[in-house]
Amino acid sequence: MGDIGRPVRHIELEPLEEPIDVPSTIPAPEEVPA
Amino acid sequence: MSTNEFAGLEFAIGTVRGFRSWNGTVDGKLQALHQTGIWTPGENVAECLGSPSKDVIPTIEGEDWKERQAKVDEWRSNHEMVECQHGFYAYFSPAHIQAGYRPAVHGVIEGYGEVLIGTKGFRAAKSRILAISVEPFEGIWNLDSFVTDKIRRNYPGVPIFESNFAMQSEFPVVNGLIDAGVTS
Repeated sequence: MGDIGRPVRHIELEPLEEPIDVPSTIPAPEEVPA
Repeated sequence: MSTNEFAGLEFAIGTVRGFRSWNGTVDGKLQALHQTGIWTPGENVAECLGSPSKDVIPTIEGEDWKERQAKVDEWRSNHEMVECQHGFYAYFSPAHIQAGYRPAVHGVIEGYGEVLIGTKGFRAAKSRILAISVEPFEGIWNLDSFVTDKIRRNYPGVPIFESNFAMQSEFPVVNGLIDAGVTS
């Protein structure tokens, strides 16, 4: 595991903008854009 | 570390940025250095694989293993980050990122959702890859060009840079907080 150092903040972050709608999957070879 | 060290879970709008590295697999996928999971384009959601301490779920002699596993599963899906080590790790300085066992790929990610911020970096419940650098790590772990091509295809929409410097210029990490509106 990594070392983030001494914890200083515990926070719930909501992205300012809606994320770009990118599928959370690795494209299958046949789906790979040309 | 305990929850008492914090005033409580804060809420804010924004994301936190950091540097990290992955193992670059031969089929062009980014694998966590210390886990087997493959990062995907778009949103990645952390899954806790930890085990609760005996203080949290005491060991009961003769307990049915299925019942215990159900308790562990419940704990894994319903505990705060301060109670274990899960999450996506990233660092505020490239000096803190690590090399992999395979050719290392560096990148910038943004974390959001539940986030534990430390003096060197953070770990977050959710994360997206913002940028990737395929610069060889200290001249040793050079990625073959066919692997780089596969990374480009596997992570559509993610900018890929030939050098860490170029990546950092385009995706700076400033005190770890970008567009967050978070004040100390």
